[in-house]
Amino acid sequence: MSTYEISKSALLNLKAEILRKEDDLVKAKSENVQKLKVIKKRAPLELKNKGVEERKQFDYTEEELDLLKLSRSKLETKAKLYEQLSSNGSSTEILNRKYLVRFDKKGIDCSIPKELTDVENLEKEVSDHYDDEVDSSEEWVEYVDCLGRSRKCLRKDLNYFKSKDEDLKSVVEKRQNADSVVETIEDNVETEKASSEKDIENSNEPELMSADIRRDILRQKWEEEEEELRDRSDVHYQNVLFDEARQHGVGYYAFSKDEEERLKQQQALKNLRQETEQKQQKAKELRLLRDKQMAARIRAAKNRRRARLGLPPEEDNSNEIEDEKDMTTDDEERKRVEEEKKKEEEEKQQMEKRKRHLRPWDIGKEGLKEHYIMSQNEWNEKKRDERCSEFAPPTSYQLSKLRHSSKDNHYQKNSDDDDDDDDSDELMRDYRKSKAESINPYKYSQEKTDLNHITSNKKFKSTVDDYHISDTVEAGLKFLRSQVENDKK
Amino acid sequence: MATNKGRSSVYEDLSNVEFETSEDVEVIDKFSRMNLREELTRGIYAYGFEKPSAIQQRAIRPIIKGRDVIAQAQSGTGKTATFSISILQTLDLTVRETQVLCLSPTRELAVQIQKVILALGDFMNVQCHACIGGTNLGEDIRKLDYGQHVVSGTPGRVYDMIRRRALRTRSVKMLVLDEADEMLNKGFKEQIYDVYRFLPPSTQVVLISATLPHEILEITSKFMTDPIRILVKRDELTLEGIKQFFVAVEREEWKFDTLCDLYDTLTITQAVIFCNTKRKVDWLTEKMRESNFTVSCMHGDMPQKERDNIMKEFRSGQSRVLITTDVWARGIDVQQVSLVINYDLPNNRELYIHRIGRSGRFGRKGVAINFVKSDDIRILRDIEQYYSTQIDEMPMNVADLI
Repeated sequence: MSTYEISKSALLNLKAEILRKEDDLVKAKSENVQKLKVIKKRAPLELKNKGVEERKQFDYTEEELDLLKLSRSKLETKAKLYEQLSSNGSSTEILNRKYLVRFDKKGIDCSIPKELTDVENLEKEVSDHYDDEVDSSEEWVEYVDCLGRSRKCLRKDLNYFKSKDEDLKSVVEKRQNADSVVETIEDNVETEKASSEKDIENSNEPELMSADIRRDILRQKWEEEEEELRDRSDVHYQNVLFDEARQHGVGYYAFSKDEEERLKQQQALKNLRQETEQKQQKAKELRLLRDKQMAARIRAAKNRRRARLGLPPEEDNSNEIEDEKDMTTDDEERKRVEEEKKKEEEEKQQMEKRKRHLRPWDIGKEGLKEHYIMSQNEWNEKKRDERCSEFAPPTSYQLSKLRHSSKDNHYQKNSDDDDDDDDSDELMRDYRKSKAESINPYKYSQEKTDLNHITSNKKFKSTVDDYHISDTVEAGLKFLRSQVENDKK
Repeated sequence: MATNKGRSSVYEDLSNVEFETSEDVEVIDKFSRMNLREELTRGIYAYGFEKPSAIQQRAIRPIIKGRDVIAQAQSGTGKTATFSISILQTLDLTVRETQVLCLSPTRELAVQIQKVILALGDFMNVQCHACIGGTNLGEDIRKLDYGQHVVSGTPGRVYDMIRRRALRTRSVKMLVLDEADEMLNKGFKEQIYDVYRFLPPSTQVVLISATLPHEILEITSKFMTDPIRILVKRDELTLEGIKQFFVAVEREEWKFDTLCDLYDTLTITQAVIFCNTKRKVDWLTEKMRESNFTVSCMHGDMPQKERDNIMKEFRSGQSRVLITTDVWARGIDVQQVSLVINYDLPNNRELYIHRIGRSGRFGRKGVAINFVKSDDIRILRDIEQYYSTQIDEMPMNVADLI
């Protein structure tokens, strides 16, 4: 296939060459190690700018120097003691009691120094042993953990860290699974978060601005929002909210301003709701089933016991009881339904009546077939308005009638009892005046009607007669008044 | 019986009749028991309502049933939501035609009602348009052309739209008059009549307000049929949560200094300052700004665009102190307002209730401070007695009450 012919010997040569180069590289490295070591060891400790030491000496006062010397000597003795304690592991008991530090353990720790468990220790290790850095290219490995962070560790620890990472990953995944149900919504939340972050940025920005500029920016934003609304056929709450600072309820959900997005969100919410309902239903069914099984098991146990005692098995009568219960509730329900029906019928009648009613402001509107049904009062009023004024009862009649209607009974009583002195009643005054006159047509008619009362002996009639009485009284009084006036003249 | 009463009342003199809450008003103390649509219930909870308020417990059901309703309740107790919920329940969403017409006295209020309806009906995807003056006519016509389930507007523009046949009324089932007493007052009554004449006969009518004076209740029989009344006695009309105070000043000029002294208290949350005239609003704003106080102002002589922007700024909390006229007195709901100042005392008792009701929204605390000159104190005492409430002299620690 290839365009070049390659002989086997050439391949072998190539391989040999590679091996040789590799070897060289390793050798060179090992040589370099020593060189590097030398340099490195010197670098941090010995390499210093010229004159630093002298200046230091200059800066230190004698006292400080003494203090430094003292602390150094103390540290040295301390180190010696530690070494001694950790090296002889025999008298552990005494050591345990005497010191808080467990020197016996320390010895063991030191003997297995590179069994490190966490990254922090590793890092310490690194800083302690400079020379290890040299072959870091081989020993140190970089890897990316499940959270996407790049980490470094020793090659030999890689497996250990990988396993730890697996654990972490499983935990994270569990959490994500829990959230994945609401993933669609979460997405929205994220976008919302982004937008709200933007808002925060916006709100942070203006801190530096004057109120006027901030206001202008906001106004511009609202202007744009309104511009968008202008040609929309569908307007929703989010479109007209305009940054209002309003507290909403717990169930509040800020739908997207975009119509498609909004529909998606609503669908997602709907799906969630249905899922919840389904699960609730399932749980309920499960509970019922369990209860039933439990009941059956209990019954079986009872029957077994009865069988042991030689009794016949218990009858399954739970259904019958339920039936009975149903019967009683049926009766109650029937009553209730009947009552409701009655109420409904009443309501219907009322509705009919209301429908028939015609409002004054509706008169003359199109589509009104029925004419307005007047009440007796309204009809009377209307006819009175139409009537020629000459045919109307005299105005004085109208006036006194009004007074009468309110004091009818009162008047009747007074007419029977002459001693009563109700001065508030003008008519009574007139009446008394008339009594002073010799002629008294009123009394006559009064007696006559009284007789009528006795014979008819019916109360409702008397009320009708009252009107007649008052009419005659009215006429009589008028007559009297005119007579008196004539006499005076 | 009841109908008869309603009918005969048409021509009878009602000035001596005492109107009382109807007897057969059912109380439903849970939203879940109101048989509302699922999406609507969701919208209600999302908006922040958990339990229905007194008026919501009583008025929602009869409105849904189709009855004419006159509903009165204290300021900030959820009246707008009451009729909004009822409206949303009765809508047929498959029909994209105007089914409910909702009229209010100010443009801002009409926009706010649109917002509430959209919020409560968010899960229902309801369409509600604010049809108000001062906006582009063509745009209004186009929006109405798209088809709206509900139109919330001011009488003038709505009537205009009806006459232009941009707003078709044949599917209208319900007419809502928010701030009904204002709507049926001299200034508006004619316009309401004009709109009403275009509605199908026997359209369901709902009247809502915190104040319903007797003379308003008297004329309701002209366009309502045997209405259910849910009324509040005037001595129960002021809210416990709104503390009322007065500051006595000897001369008008001192009011300004008092206001400056109070400025720190004003900005604790948000505050509204009421003057009686537009000119005074302008003057006071100018003077406050000269003294380096940040205030915004709003009145009916401003262009609508500016009014809109100021409302948005105030609603978003960008501005904290608003100097305004009675255009702001009724219905406007900004949750954060906790202080109302009557720089001038209102011209009538009803306005007092509405003004102080801008604070203390839906169970929150509120404070109202009245600036009174010595000859005004009589008026204040009259208000106090009329509503049998308590208006004390302002204490030093008034900031603690906010």
